[in-house]
Amino acid sequence: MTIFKIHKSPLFIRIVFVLAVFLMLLVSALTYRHVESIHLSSEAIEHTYKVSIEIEDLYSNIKNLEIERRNFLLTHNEKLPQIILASKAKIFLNLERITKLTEDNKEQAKLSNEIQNLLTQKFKIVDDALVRFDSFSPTELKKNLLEGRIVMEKISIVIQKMLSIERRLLMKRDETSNSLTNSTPQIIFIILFSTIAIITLAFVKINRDLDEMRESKGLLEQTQKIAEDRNRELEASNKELQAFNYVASHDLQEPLRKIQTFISRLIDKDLQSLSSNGQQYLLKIQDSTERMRSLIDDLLQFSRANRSEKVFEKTNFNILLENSKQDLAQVIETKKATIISNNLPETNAIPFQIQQLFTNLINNSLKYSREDVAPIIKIHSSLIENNEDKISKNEKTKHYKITFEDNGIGFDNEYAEKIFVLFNRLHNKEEYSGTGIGLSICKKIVDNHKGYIFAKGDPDKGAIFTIYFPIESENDI
Amino acid sequence: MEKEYIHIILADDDEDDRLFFTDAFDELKINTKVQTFINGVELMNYLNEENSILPNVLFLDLNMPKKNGIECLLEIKENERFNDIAIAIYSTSSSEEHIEETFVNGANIYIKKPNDFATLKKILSDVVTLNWQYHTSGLNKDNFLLRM
Repeated sequence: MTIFKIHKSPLFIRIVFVLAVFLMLLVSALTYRHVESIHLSSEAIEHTYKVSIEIEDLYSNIKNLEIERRNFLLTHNEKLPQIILASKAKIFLNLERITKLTEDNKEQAKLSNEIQNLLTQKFKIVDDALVRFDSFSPTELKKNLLEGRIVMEKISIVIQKMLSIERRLLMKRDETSNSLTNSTPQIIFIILFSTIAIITLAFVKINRDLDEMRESKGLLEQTQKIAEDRNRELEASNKELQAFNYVASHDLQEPLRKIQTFISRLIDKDLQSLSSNGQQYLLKIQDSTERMRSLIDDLLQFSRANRSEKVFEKTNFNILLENSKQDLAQVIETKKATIISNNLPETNAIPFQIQQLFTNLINNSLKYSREDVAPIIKIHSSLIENNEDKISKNEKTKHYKITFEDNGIGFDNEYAEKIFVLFNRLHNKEEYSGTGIGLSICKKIVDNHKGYIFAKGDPDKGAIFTIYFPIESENDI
Repeated sequence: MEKEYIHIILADDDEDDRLFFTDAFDELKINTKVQTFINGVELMNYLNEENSILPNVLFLDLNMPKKNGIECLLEIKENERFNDIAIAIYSTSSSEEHIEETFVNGANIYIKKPNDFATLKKILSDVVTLNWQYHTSGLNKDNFLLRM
């Protein structure tokens, strides 16, 4: 499997690519050299032929010259000297060409030098014959003829040597050329094979990669679809629950209100005409309806805190505090409570929820006050910079810290977290009324604002609720 | 000649609520004449009659069949003839949306129907004896929702 991993790394692919290119270049170079060799080889063969032809031509011209000399000596034909001159010229040309052609071959060069010397001798004899032909004695004539023949034989031998050298060269070069030609198909095969191999490997690799990608993509799409489906289900279910919660609380209010109003009229008008039991029962009914109303109110509050459309706007907390105090004005007066606060912040929040939060907390402090001790509620706000209280994970977050401190009955710190749990109570309904929803609503509201709420209790001394509101942007301060 | 009584109209589809309302005024010592209508259509038909006596205070329930409270409110505010009517929304709901909507469309005060009769009497007494001009001069949402 590790090998496959290496196969997948991009570096590996790059190296392979470079190698492939290099291989192709190498193969091309070899091919080029091969073709060059064939070309040179055929040129060499051509050269050998040229030399041979030239030498044969020379020999033929020399032979002609000899025949013309002998002819002249025999016939004294006046036309022959001119022809002899022409032949001499031709021979000169031949010699020139042969010297040039045999420059590269030492042996041939030496032999061609010999020919030259012999030819010089021959020309002397020929010239002799031309000039003194009519004054020749029969012995001189015989001598000239004989000398001519001897030189001719020597020339012939040299010529033969030259020709045989060329023939040998030709054979060798022919062999080379043949072997080159024979190896050509092999070379072509190597090129073809290597190219096809590289292309095939590349194709196989690309194909495999594509298949893998397609598979991953398929898996990803599947997972996404499942997540989307589940998401949609959850959203739908959530919406249903919220709607149910809201409608139930809302629609229950109506008949309850009627019950309460009619009971209150009954009590106002006809309480005295009931038996003492009847009176007691009626009053108990009234108590129960009051509790039911409390519960429905709180449930309604809870569902409102839960709603998904949460509109944040710039909110002055001081105003909201005043509103809460007004809402609770009667209880505050009855209990002779004092509420002290410093300047609260003005920041982005959901106004009706913050007001609910304040109302619930103050209400709690009033409700759980100590007997015969007038409640004193202190509300204090401060700005926490640089995450001093270690609230969030981000060092840079700033918070507003608002504390609600009272001098009521407090609670055991053991329950500091439990009291925020829905329907959780620390007292039964005979001691203190309540639904166990109030603090859950507070926690939900603080959660909606991405903040934190903590409770600390001191039995018989009081309780402190601390709320942290994160500050989103610099505009808030 | 000045009227000696305060003319009050309630539009509410609920029979019991109409009963509470009229009984409350019966027991109050204020000089009032109370009319009730069972839905928005009946209400508007009455108001639009040429010779109808317009109320000093109109209590509007929001949830009514055929024509609801908001629709009535809009119609009333469009007609200059009804400019002197003080409109009190009288509803079971205390939702932010309803309070907002009725405030924006020109209602003078928002009352949540109370749970007991004594409170109802007190509310009605306070509302009809309000000095409306003083109350509505600072069009302010804080004054809008009646707090007890």
